[in-house]
Amino acid sequence: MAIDQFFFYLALLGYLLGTLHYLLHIASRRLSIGRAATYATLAGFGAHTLSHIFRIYALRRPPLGSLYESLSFFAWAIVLIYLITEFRYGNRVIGAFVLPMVVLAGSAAAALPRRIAELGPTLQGVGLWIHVALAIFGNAAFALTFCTGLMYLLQERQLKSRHPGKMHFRLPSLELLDDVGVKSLLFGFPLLTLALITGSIWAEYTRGSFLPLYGRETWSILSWLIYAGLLYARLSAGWRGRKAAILAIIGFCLVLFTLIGVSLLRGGRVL
Amino acid sequence: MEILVVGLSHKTAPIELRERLYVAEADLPKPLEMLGESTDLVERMLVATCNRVEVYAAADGAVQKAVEGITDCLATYRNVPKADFLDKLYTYTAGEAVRHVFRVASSLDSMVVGEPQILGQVKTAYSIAQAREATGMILTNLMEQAFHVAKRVRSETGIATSAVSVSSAAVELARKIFGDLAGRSVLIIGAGEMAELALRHLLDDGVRSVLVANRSYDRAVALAQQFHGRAVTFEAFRQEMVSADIVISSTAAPHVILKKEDMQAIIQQRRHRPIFLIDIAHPRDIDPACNEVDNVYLYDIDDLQAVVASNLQERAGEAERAEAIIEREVGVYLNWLRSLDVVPTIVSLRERVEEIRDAELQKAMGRLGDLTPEQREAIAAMSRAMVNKILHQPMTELKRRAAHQEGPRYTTVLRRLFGLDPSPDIRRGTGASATPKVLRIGTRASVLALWQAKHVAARLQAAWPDANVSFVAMKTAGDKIQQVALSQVGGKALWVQSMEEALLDGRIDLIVHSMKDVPTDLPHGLTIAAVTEREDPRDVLISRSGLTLAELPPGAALGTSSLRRQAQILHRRPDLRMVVLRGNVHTRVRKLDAGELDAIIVAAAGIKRLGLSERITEYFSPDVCLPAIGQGVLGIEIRAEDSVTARAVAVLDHRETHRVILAERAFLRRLGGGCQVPVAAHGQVEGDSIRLKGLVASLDGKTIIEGEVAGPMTDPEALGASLADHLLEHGAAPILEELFGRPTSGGPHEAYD
Repeated sequence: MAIDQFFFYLALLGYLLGTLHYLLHIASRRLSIGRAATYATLAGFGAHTLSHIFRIYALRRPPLGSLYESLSFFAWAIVLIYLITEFRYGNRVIGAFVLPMVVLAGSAAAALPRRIAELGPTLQGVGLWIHVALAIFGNAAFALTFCTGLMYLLQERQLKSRHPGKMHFRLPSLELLDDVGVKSLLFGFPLLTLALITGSIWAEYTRGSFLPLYGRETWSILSWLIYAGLLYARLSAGWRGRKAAILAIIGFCLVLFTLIGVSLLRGGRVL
Repeated sequence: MEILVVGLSHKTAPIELRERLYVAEADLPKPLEMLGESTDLVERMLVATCNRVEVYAAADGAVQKAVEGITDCLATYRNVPKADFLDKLYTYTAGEAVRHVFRVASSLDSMVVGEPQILGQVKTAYSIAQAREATGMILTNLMEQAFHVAKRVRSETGIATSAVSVSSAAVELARKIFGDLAGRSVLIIGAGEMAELALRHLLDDGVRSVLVANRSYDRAVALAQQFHGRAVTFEAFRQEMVSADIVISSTAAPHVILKKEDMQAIIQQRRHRPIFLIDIAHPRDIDPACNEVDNVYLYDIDDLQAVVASNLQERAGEAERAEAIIEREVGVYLNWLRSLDVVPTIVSLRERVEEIRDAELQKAMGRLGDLTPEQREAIAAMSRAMVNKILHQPMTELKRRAAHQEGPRYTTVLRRLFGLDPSPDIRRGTGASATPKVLRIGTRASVLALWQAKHVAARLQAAWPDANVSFVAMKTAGDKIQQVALSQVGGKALWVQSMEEALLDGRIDLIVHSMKDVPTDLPHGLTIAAVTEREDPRDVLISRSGLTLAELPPGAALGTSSLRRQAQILHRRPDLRMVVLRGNVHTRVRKLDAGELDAIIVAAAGIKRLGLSERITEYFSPDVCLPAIGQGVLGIEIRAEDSVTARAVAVLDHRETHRVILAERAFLRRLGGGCQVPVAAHGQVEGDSIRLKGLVASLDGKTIIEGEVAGPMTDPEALGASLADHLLEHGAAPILEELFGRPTSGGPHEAYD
């Protein structure tokens, strides 16, 4: 097994332990378990980073060339953004929602073929790597928007039901969830916009067509439109809370479909 | 007599139904009156809060009938069809009823367990029922015990800590909506204790600005000042809701003041910023449909239940401990109820044995000659220990058996074995016609009076096993005048009047009196046929700090109801402040404990009977505080011509005490009968003669005319009269003349205690 694979599995183990501890933490509300969750996730993140470095060293290019690579990078980006959020807000409950997603993405990546794909000459160049990296980071930010949106809906339902249950006491306040939601959106949207622009330039440069009317680009534009609408509604029409959360969830489903679904339809090719 | 609870609460009925059956505090007397008129309930009280409507009652007849009566009453009063709430009603009797009342008072049955308001609400309901004379011995005792239990639960468990109250529940919800409350603003619509409590909590949590809207702008300003907020007009509250984050609504409006359309408009203006509405009004102020508006979170009192239920889960241990306390207290109370029947026997047994011990001890001391005080004390201690050890087993056993059905049998056997009732020789040689078949005892419905009546009943039953002995408890109009000393009320106590009427009508056969309550002049046709042996006639001081009369600080507040005690105490301690004190012994002790008074003076006999001996700080010897005429003695009043009852009650008569009482009462009669004056007299038998001490005092205690005579037991009345004459000659006459200037009549000469 290549060394990058070893660290990847180590990272997955760390995320799995992190997931378990985040869940145990919200069940027991014990701080020590919460700390263990953070440490496990941090360790996983460290191993994951090493895995990327080794792979870059082996490939002599960014690890973004296959579905496996981009899913793995996606998981890594989510963890990075999440950890920043956890340190900023001091809240670990979000981890119980984000980390399972990370484990899911990681496991999906682990199940995919990992052979090093030979990329054609059109699929090379710094511009492409920037495009992909921007898109993945933007989508990772939206993953957080998605999770907090989901949590917002849960908490909102608890509060609206007027009979809040156990979940209610575990979940953070609506204000915090909405705040993380809007901040991650504000972080992710410019990245997605840039990704779209660089992607278009690259497409025009290599294929000569600016906006192909099929495939991933179409879906990307659709989800960009949804996020643009969401941002506009939030900033100018005062949209917030439930509607914003629902829109964020729909947007992220599209993102997932764009990233994974379209690739699978096209036989596992990322690009 | 059965203790009965009928009602519904948040546990069985939704708020819509409770709203329909709700009775405001000010309206409570009306349904209470209806209950009295349309049911046979002997005692009744109504507790109505926004979370419960319950009737506590003592019923004589069939429980089912009583329940139906109560249900009808509730249905008629609020005009709610019975079918609408019948299946929501619960009915508890006996132990279950006691448990329920204890749990309600202790706030264990509350929606927000541990919330402190319910105790006050129950207390108010009780005092309203009391004021309407709807309560008697059973409910009085039940409620007093319930208040005691509630206090215990509050102090011994953590259920009352802040996290389980309506207000902290609201704060917790606000935190789940807004996160940090710092910098948030709150709008109060209306006012009220709960609203203020919630506001205080919110302020503690960092809420910045407070707005107050009230129909009365002045009230709004007052409340706003209190919380450093800003008052707004009531009409403006909707505009203010555009900026406020938290709204507490608590108006007395009969219908909703905020509709869904209003809320939709407001939330638009707020640009969908979340708003938390807390509706603690009853009936509700805010249309429940407002909750359907996005970013609006509306909670009424019902909704807070779930929040607190979760908190309670965290505190399940505390609640369990509280339940355990309640369980124990219910047991104690039920045992007390049952053991009430054996108490007189236990007391007689103890007295009898003490009497023997005392006599034998005196004899032994006499024979032993010169002993050091230590040796004397050692012998006395030994005799006490022996008596206690011998009595311990039978008393424990009797108390244990008292809770069961065979209790009365044990009592009878014990009385026979120890000869606690004078041997009923009188029964021999009497014809069947002279044997009493029915003995109906009239008594006042107070704990002490009932105890006395039971004591007499037990002795009569033991002497006349075939007779049917029963009680008729009278309503106690005399007890109702709480704040006015009886001496100022004048007139014969109403309960005495009504009971004497019942006696003359033949509805009852005898009345058990505290002899000191009995006026010197009896109605024509009635007579005192027997008096019991005198118990401890002394007065005692109970002080909160344990200080004796001499040690009490100047200006200390001393409670007593009797001019006699007042004058004699003022004579020694003119610097003390005398406070008029009414109510039964429990009430008086409670007033002392509540800190209203520094000390109280009550009769020793009553305190001992109620098992409160350990509270006594100081016994007053007759030199300090001469007892009232007839103090410590029970008198049996019967129809003069009723020879059967006369024969029956003769077993109760204590010859020597009877003589002494005749002397004391003759003394009083010569001084002007039963008028309310500071007069005291106390006689004691010495060999074949009686030594009688008496005094007349001025109200301020500055002048006390006292004297002492001794004479043969054969003519006690002449002895009493001669002492009275002696005092009149030596300065009592002017005092009495001054007092007779006051409105007086032939009332009892000492307040009941």
